[in-house]
Amino acid sequence: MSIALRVLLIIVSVMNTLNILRRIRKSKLQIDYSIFWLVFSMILIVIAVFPQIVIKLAQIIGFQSPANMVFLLVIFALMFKSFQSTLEISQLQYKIEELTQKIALEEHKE
Amino acid sequence: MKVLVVIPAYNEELNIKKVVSNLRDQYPQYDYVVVNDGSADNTSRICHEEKFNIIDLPVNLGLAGAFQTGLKYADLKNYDCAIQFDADGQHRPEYIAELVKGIEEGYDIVIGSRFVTQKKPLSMRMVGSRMIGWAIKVSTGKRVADPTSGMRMYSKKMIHEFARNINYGPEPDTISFLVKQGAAIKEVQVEIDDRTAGESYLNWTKSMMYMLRMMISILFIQNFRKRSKTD
Repeated sequence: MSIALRVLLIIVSVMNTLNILRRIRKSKLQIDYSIFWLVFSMILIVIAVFPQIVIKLAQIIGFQSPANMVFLLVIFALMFKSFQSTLEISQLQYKIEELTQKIALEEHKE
Repeated sequence: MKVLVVIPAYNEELNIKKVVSNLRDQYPQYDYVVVNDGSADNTSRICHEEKFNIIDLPVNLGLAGAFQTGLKYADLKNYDCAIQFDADGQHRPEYIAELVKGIEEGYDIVIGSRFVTQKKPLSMRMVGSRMIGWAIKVSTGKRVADPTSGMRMYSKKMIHEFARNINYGPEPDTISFLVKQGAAIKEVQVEIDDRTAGESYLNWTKSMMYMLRMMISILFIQNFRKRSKTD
């Protein structure tokens, strides 16, 4: 992995972490929703600081370059998170429908 | 002292009648409110049949949202203190008086703790409790013997704060945050029974995620939070 990629990983991860903390501080984000992103940033920093881990792993699995493996892992993690978000949105949507209907029916009764 | 017992209930049809009628009949000095967290079973119907004081949430919010509903009620009705009380019969009402005493002494939060005079057993179940206790000690410098006890009483000031803010779930990380911010906390020895019916919602993966969330929250996130000014 090139130095440039490692430095970039660290910069972006640290900025991401600071951004999340700022939002929690401003009461704009629930802690439960921050955990994934904090762990994600943490892992990227670990990979950037200790690239041997990924280099070894890439060799074993047979990737051309460790960087490719990092990209793939990141894509998988984001796919997982994206799907999870879709599930949550779907549930929220359903809850809003239920709530809206409930309120409307209650008002109709009065 | 006007005391409110907040009883969040999610699918508790097997326990709710016994727990609440015992509280209502044997301890009439305390007011109570059941917060039905959008249960899919007969919890709500049973409560209405028994004429319990109940708030029905139209959708499921989870424990934090349900409990906060109870505290909003307490805040609105001007209660002096409010206690979180399990709907499954794990908490015993005879200990409420001891916790009220703590509030009268001026403490902000009083925890019904299993380990003030009793020793914490070295079992697997207590590993989580120990880790959280350690994290709180590192983060705040204070020892909380039973951070995962769900039996906690809050003063009027705390009720107001809990009722109005985000990230104030009734969990150990909120306690840690408040202790760090200077809240006065006391632990009172109580006994907590095993569940009488129904099953715990915590399975292995959920417990792991819960621990991860608590450790990150207590050791890291809470250091960067600021306490919002409410009044």
